[in-house]
Amino acid sequence: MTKIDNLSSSASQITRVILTDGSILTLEARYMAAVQRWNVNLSWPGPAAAPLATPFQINGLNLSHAPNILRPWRDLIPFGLSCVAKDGVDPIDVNDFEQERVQLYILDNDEVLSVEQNVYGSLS
Amino acid sequence: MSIVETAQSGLGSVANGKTYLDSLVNRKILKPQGVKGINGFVFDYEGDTKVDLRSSITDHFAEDNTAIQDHIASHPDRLVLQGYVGELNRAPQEGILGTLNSLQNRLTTVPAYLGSYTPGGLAKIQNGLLKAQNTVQQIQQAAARIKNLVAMFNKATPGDTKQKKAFAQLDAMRKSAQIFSVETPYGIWDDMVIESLSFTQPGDTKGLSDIVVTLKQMRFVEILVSKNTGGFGGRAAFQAQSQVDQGKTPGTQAPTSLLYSTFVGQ
Repeated sequence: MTKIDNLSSSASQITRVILTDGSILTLEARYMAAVQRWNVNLSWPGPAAAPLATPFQINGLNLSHAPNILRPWRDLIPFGLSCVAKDGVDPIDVNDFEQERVQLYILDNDEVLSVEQNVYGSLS
Repeated sequence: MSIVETAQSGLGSVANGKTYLDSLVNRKILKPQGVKGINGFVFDYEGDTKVDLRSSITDHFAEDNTAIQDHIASHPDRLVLQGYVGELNRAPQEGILGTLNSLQNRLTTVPAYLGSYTPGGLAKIQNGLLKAQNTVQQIQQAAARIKNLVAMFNKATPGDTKQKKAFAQLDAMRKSAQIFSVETPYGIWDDMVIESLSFTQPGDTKGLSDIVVTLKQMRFVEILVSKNTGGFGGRAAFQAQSQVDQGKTPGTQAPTSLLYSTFVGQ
C-alpha cells in the first residue's frame, strides 16, 4: 500500500496521487472547523489505458479510522483508501496529517481483497 | 300624541334594538377576519365549548430501556363549539337595553298618576322623551346598517327558518374555506376554519337544532429568499482558507501488515 505523504495542515488542500497503473487520483481535503472533521472529495478518471466516460467522483466523504473507507465501492474501482490513526481516534484536528497522527494509504486491488479477507473477515 | 304613546313608541324602539344587539353580546361569535364584531353567527343557546390543544412528543428508547423525550411538536389548535338554534327563543334581558326595557314596563303604569302633573311639566317630560326617541332612532339606523353588512355574508334567503339560515351561513363559510377569528370564553383564535359541521334536529321537535362546529387553526408557510453573495461572510470569512495545491505524489510504500496490526491486533 502507498502512503499519501504530501498532506499538510492546510484546511483546504488538493493533491494528486499517481496510482500503480499510471492513472491519477485527485483528492481534495477540507477541514471543517465547526464540526472538527476532515472530509474529502475524490475524483478518478478511470484506468490510464481505458478512461471512463464519466470520472468516478465522490464528494464530502468524512474521514474516519477505517481499513478501507471506499469499501462500499470496492467492486467499482480497483483501489481503496485506508485511514489509520495511531491512537484509533478519527481525524479531528487540522494538524493530524502534518503531525502524522493520522495517515492515508492507497490500497491497490490485491490489497483491497486482502483487507476484505484478513481484516474485515477477521472482524466479522 | 300623548305622553304615554310617545314613551311607549320610543321605548318600543329600544326594545327592537335590544332584541338584535343583545343577540350579539355575551355569546360566542364567529366572525370573518377583518370584519370585527360583525357577521355574528350566534347560538340562541350556548352549549359546550371545548378547546383541544395537543402536542406530539417523541419516545426514543435508550440502551438501558428508558425512554428519552427530547422532541415536541405542537399540533394546530382545535375548537369544538356546541349550541342550539331554535325558532322560538326567549333570551334573558341583559345589559343597558335590558334595563331600559324594564323601565318601559314601569312607565306603562304612568297614566294612573298623570293627573297630578301640570301642562308645563308634561311638556318638559314630552320633550325629554322625544329626545330619547331620536336617540333610539339613531341606534336603530345603525343597527340596520349592521344588518345589511351581515346580509353580505349570510347566504340565507328571507322567509327561511332560523335553523335553515344558520345552516346556510355556516355551510357557506365551510364551503368557501373562509378564514375567520373565533371568540370563546378563553380568548380569541385567529386563522380558524371550519373542519366539521354537524346539525342535528331531534325527532321530537322541528323547532330546534343542535349544532356542533369543529374549527381548526390554519398555519401558512412563508417564503424566505436569501441572496447568495457567492463568498464567505462574517466568521466564515475569517476562517476561510484558499485551497493549497500539494502537487502530484507517487506516495511512499508501506507494509500492508500495518492494517492488520492496527485493526485486528497481534
